[in-house]
Amino acid sequence: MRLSIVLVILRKELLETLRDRRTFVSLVLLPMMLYPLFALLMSRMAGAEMDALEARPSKIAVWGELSPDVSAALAAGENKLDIMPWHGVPAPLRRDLEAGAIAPPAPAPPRPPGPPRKGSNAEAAGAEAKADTKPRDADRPDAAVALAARALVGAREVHAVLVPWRGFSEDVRAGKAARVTLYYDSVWGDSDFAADRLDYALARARDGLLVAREGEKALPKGFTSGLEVVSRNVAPDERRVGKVLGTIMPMMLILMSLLGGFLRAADMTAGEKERGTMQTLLCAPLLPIEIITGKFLAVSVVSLFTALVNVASLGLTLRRILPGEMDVPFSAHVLTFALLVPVTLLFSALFLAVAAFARDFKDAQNLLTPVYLPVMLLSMVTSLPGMELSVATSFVPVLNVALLIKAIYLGDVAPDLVLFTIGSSTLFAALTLVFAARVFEREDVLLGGRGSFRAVFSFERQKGGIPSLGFSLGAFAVVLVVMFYASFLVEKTTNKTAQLAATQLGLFFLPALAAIAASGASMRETLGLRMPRPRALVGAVLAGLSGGAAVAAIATRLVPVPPEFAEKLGDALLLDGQPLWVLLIVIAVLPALCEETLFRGLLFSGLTRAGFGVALVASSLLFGLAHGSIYRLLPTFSLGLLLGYARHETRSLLPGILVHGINNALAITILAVRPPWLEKLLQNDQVPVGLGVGAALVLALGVVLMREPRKADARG
Amino acid sequence: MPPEATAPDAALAAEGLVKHYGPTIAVAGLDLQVRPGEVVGLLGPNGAGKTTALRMLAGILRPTQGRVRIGGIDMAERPLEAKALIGFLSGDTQLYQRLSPRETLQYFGRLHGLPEAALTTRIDELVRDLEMASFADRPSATLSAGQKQRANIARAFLHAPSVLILDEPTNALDVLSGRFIVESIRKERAKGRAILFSTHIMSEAEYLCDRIALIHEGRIVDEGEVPDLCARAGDAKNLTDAFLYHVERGAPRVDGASSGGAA
Repeated sequence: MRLSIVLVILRKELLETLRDRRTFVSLVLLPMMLYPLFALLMSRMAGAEMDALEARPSKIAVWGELSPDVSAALAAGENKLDIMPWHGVPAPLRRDLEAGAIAPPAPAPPRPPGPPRKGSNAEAAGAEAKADTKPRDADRPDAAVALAARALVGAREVHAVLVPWRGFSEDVRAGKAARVTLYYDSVWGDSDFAADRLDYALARARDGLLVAREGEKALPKGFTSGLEVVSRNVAPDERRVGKVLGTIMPMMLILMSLLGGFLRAADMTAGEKERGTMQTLLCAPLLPIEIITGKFLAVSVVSLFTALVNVASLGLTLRRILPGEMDVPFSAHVLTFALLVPVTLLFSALFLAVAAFARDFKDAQNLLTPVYLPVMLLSMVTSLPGMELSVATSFVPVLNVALLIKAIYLGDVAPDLVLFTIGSSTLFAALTLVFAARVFEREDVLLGGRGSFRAVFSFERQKGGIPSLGFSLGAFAVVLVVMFYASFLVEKTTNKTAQLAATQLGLFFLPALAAIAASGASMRETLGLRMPRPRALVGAVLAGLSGGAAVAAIATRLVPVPPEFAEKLGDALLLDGQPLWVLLIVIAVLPALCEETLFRGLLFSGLTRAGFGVALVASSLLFGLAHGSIYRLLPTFSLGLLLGYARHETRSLLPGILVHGINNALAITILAVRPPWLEKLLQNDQVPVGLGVGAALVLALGVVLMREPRKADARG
Repeated sequence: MPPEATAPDAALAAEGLVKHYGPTIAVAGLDLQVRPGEVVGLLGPNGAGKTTALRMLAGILRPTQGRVRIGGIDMAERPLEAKALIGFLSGDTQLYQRLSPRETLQYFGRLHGLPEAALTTRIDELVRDLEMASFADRPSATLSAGQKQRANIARAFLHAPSVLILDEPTNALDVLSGRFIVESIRKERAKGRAILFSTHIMSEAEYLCDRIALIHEGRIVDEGEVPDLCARAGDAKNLTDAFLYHVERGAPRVDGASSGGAA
């Protein structure tokens, strides 16, 4: 592939894009207008809703006797409270309340320090905190009242129920803290608003009482309040907008970023076919891979630029239109853009590949829409409440990035999930690129009409040899996806031992073997089923014994493991106190066999088609990522390098299985037995330098022993 | 195919070309040579396999069987070198709508690896020779059909290819524009280019071509100079009658020279 040619194609495609008004509109104009307009519209709507709420008086049922002064204060016209004494109270409950047979709920604990929330100044006249009407409140003394209030509010007869407990008036008169409880429904906007109004009115009433008491006791003015706090909520409308924007932003960002690529991909493939320029391009002295790369880069640049404009427009909107409400740091925008990169690359390749099947631009849009729809659905799922990024969702394309963007804007991001998301998105992008290259190798697709999708997806069974790069990556991605769905099944069994064993055998080992068999590649070559020299086996044993300690000595100093994490991992690995021999089978033997088959067998062999270096780094990275934590990434990645080296040098899977198995066995034995002398040695949970150096020397010896002279070297 | 079927001096040579699209056989064994300075016309009704044959010769389509040599270079083995020697033009090719003819020429010049200075000179030369000065810098979307086809011709001639493959280049052009294209092709022949040219306009073929190959149902039914073709077609009065004679008979003429190949 000649870079100069690729650049010529890229440059021409970009020049055409710049001159296309349609693309300019969807690329720059639309995003620049979308976010500000959306924010304005939302705040306008929220404002209108607010106005309507303001206009309606709140109906408050009062179940009890308020003192005359408090009663008068609440009834004041500006409060817009419609006080309805004893409205809707069941007769027996009224009797109990009047008799004082029901105890008021215990006062709520003081609010933790933090940003002030609506209603935090609610302790009017020494009132109790508002009581929620949740089922768990059934044990509370006022359960009967709460139930009756919930029924009344639920029937929309009143907006809230206020209960001044028996003795309220006497307490007020005696200068004690009088108790009231407010029952309302925070989900119903009118009820929530009524509670706000009552809070405010009660606070005013309290202030009146305090001033009166100061007068009675001849205290200096302000003695009782000590502090005069005037708080004013400046942006009640925008807060709602921020929340709404936060939940739908990821969807808008992703969909808008892909839109630019969508149009360009259709134009560059089907459009060129329609105009007949595709065949002139094909008869120029160019390789298909140069054409696809140039076009892929062009679509990517356009998409990335759209993504950038979108992120910028969103950022500016948040700053200018919703000031102070969403305090999103600049770095969050940078990270968001970075996350859009793999998604954009993935869809640039996918759009190109799919659009290449179309006869003309219109046809391309028809074909691309089904590709675009799942993206829409996946990113819409993001806005569902409770949908959060987890280890499982971080492997679902699009959804992972959308969820991560949501988490970034709502300010809660787990670093290892960022890593998984970027890792898996990059893997998917690479796969689609392989697919797109395959499509562009097909003349009938590029020249004529539809061609057949099936021909592109079909693969010819190989006769022996190692699997192809695309096949290995594809099979690995399938294993990932199957793992995602299977994790729901496996989760159901509470037996952790069975869970781990099932995962290893059912999700790593068998799928890997099935994939190799399906590809028609040689089992022997792919898995390296050969007996290495005895000295290589000795080397593997040495490396297995020392590798873990050597790696840990460095890794724990570079990325310190939080003790809670180490403890949690340790507990998880001990499998609820299984005997050591079970641990050795499930934690050492099975992973050594199954993970090596998948990672150093199927995956590594296919990857070697792109070169040993690529295979080593990529397989180790995926191996590290598969271990599911940022704290384990460096150790497992390093172990992956060692295992990949062993596989390559000895051309056999066996030394790797030995290294992996011994390493795990050693670790789990130490964890289970916890010999006191070793605990003493590992001060601060770190491998001491001396032990680390010793282990490194043993490891080096093991590595040298595993080296096998290549045929080329053996000449001399 | 017997190797002696290829003349040693042929700039373009097809040997036993076959193309299947699934069950459909578009080209069923085609042998053809074009020598430098020669214009060969490929004549046939719609669906005879002309376009498929020319696309295989230009290296856009891979033949199911047979092979193509351009200047002695095997298309399947060294496609980039072979394609570098070909200028291809088809009647339904349009230009990049948002680029001017000059930009289009620059683009293809760079794809052919022409150095910038030489490219600029060459483009100026083509703009002058093909009388494109008035529209060379306008967006192609605004050009007339004749102007567009001149720009297309310029693109095919740009890298001074030794072989020109022209698929109905005068298709949908008015008489004036068509005549201009035909004259340009004659000038290229004078420069020693080997030209393979397909058309269904008989007068054009008679005027331009040194030899004519009649193609029907994916194979060449007769090949030679116009008088010979007429003589072999039951003493046809002109090329049109000779053409009709073969099409209506529908079967390949048994001659040995042209119809060998796949069954």
